[in-house]
Amino acid sequence: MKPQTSLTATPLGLRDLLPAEVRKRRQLEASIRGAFEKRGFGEVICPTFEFYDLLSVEASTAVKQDMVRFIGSDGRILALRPEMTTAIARLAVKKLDLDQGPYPFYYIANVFREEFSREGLVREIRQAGVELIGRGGVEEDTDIIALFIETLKATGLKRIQVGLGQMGFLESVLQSLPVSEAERSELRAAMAARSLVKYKKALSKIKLNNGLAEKLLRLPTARGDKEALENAQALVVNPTVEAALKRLIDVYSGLCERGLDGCVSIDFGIWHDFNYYTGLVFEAYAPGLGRPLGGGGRYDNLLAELGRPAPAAGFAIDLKNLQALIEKPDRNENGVSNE
Amino acid sequence: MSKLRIALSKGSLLEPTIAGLNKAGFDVAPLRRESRQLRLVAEGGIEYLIARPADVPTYVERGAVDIGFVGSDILMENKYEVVELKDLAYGSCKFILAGQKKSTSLASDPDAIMTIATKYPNITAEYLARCGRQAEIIKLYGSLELAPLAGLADQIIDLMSTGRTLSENGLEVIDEIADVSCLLIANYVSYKLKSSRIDELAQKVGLS
Repeated sequence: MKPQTSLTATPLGLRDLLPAEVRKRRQLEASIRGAFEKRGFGEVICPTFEFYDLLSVEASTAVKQDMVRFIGSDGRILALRPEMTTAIARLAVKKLDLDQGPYPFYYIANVFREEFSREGLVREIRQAGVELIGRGGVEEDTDIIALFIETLKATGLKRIQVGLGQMGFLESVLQSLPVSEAERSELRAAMAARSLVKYKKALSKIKLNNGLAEKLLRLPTARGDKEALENAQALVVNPTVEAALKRLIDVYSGLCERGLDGCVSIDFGIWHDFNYYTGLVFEAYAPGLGRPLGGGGRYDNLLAELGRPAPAAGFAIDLKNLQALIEKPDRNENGVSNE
Repeated sequence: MSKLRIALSKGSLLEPTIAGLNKAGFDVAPLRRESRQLRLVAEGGIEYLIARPADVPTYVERGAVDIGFVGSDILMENKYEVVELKDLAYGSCKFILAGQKKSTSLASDPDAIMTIATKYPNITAEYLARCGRQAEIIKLYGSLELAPLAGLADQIIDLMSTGRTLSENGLEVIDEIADVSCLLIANYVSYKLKSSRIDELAQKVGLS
């Protein structure tokens, strides 16, 4: 047993890495960096902490609660960044001419959260990701998702599946319903909690006609691209909903044209935790990991919130989970112990 | 075909869950054997884990199993990132606020600060916030009915199925807080990657 004193203890949820582990980490980062640079993305470095007011501008309650906070000498509340997107949006608004875009940025950086999950307490998380700021068409959405898949494959992962959702569609469908704001919030909360039980209960409480409830109920559970799209089509009642669905279909077709249809599936059950997502959202799954490997989406309102409207989209990948999966691809797939 | 790993809650939910799986056509023979084994392999690529109820969502959340059968009380007390697939309606009981007969109800005297004993401090805190009340919460591990009798607490928040223990100890229900029953839950990624098997199971179990 090595000597352990109060001076050599580290705060809970933090860890040291020795050269053998760092070498593997840097190798992984190099393949990711390579994938990003190949598509013309350039690295940015942002401050490790910022004003809490900035970082909480579009954060969900859970993320706000989980921020590591402290007080600056001027009395303002500071926080370690819980994710990179808000800081990069701030950088873009502050430093860039947003009429001249797009700006393809990437980062490989640590983010910090007081995340008391069943993972144990992990307070420092290594992430790699991109943000594409200043242009927001079908082409950009397709590029970002293709890069997401390309990057994961560049790390050596074979079996990944990417779910493609559309927050813009879900939100505009919710807006089109003849229900109160409280009822709408209840439906949102049920989707965010991934609770089909609560979603069904919330739907049964509101009066909807023409099998509308049935279609809404099938929205997050429809499996297979064709079925999901057909069901969604039946919910198109105004141009906003139609445009949101069309965007999804266009991007999906774009991905198919690039030969990526094998690993992408349309899924209206994807509801992202961060409030800032406004359009397409996506996440990657791999057998052997109980939570998504990473994900992202379009967030067209965040920059406006910071004073300068501009479209943007991006994604982030958790490097610790990714590395664990690469080293032990069949960890869970064959059961806890192999027979 | 990929394996489907299922966590079952030990205790009162175990029997109805096994019966439900049996009725839905799943092999439950290994679960019927007299054995102390906690991990059992069954026909049809099924593997069962028998866990403490409060641990079931943890196994599911982390992907150590694909799906789980667990009481909604456990999912109310702590937040887990799992998919709640279906309310199976059995194992039903209620969260209640109870106190000694003739004791003041929380609602009738808005300024009194009560002492409430419970096994569920988070649910209790949420309930108090909803009522806009202040109270002292005392965490206990069992036999909650004792607390008001011994003068440890004014009232208790607990699960009630028949209400017999309450009445035999001179307590009565003051408020009903929430209904509880057994839920079928799934790991988020399993729900995406093993969709057909999980959908099929969800569809079959709990059909009366």
